[in-house]
Amino acid sequence: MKARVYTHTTVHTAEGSYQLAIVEFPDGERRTVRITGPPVAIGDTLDWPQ
Amino acid sequence: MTPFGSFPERNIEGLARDAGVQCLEAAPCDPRRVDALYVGNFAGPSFTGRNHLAPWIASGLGLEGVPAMRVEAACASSGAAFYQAWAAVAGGVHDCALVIGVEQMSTATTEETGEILAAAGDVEREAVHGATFPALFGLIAQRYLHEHGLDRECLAAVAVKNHANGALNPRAHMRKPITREKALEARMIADPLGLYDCSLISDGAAAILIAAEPWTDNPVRVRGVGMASDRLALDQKPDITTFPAVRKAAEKAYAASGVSPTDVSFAELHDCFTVAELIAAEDLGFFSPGQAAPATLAGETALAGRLPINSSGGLKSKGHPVGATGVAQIAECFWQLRGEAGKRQVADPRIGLTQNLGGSGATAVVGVFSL
Repeated sequence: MKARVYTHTTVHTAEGSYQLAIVEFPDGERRTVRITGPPVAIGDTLDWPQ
Repeated sequence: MTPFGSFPERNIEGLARDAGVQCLEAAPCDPRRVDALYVGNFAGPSFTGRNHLAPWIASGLGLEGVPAMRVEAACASSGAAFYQAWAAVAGGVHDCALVIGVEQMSTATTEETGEILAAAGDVEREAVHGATFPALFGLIAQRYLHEHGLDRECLAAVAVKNHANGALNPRAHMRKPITREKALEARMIADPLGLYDCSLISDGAAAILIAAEPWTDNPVRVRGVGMASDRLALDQKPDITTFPAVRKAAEKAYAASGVSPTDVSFAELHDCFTVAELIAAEDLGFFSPGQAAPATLAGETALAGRLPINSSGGLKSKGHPVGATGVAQIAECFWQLRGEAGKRQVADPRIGLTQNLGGSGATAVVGVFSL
């Protein structure tokens, strides 16, 4: 399944940084997720495990 | 209103009492005339380990026996307390209600504070992934800039403006002007939000009296109030570049007051993060979507602009003791309307508006005031 990045941010803390995104699925559902791979940008398409 | 700042040596009741005493003395109002106490407070139990705050504060003010209650609505806690008090007085339940907003946050570490604040979001959908409030507003800001083809300059313009105003406010937490360069070069917190895009972690309290009948020569009138709610989670909202609860609350406040956005002379808006001020200014009808940014860059919302926004310094510079913010906004409106705002006095203050936001937009309270 594909998911498109609706928005994202990288959070910087004393322990390091991590990227969060809200992704949108083809049915319109959105979820807040933590990005564990390369940084993403708005409009990027991600593979999402079924 | 107490100064806003870091006062770990105080206790929360003492802060609230200071604000309450100042308010009663300034009115002036005999405490025996007060027949209800509403306390806006977000997380007193979490920050201070104390609960059942309202009767504690009432006793300290000599108000024993009156109905005393704490109202919680995240960062809109004292806006919600004001709404409750206003409804009770307007409805004839009470004649004179004291509303105090208070928060003491310096008792917790920055990490603990982040966790306490994050509980005002959707914990299962957001906080579990590390979505702190700076992160949530970073997500909002990223989308806002993208949709309107903007860059961080407009966010820096909000920060510079509000710090300039706060430098003129003796009660502000951070009375320090900043430059555009300093705002843009500050370390990143949750991109595109840097350090100066984020409000302060503060202690403080503010108080107002709401009465059915005026007893001073120049009372400030509550012309209209609106309150509305929305979903907690950003990912359940169709568009995160607008706050529907603000729009709904504003519609109610404008309708009740007979005031339109173009009638408003100045406004205190909830700039918990710089982008929130821009979005609020659009949701309130001051600017069309995407236009608050160029207006801010052009100085239209500066102290000497056509629509001064956050003459107090806003949450950005005045500080953001979460539960105190809504009432502090109304206190600034009161001083501005009466011409008592000193060096930060706006010109021709006919109608003032306040907008208090809870969470990432799940609660909104809007008030319209005039002499």
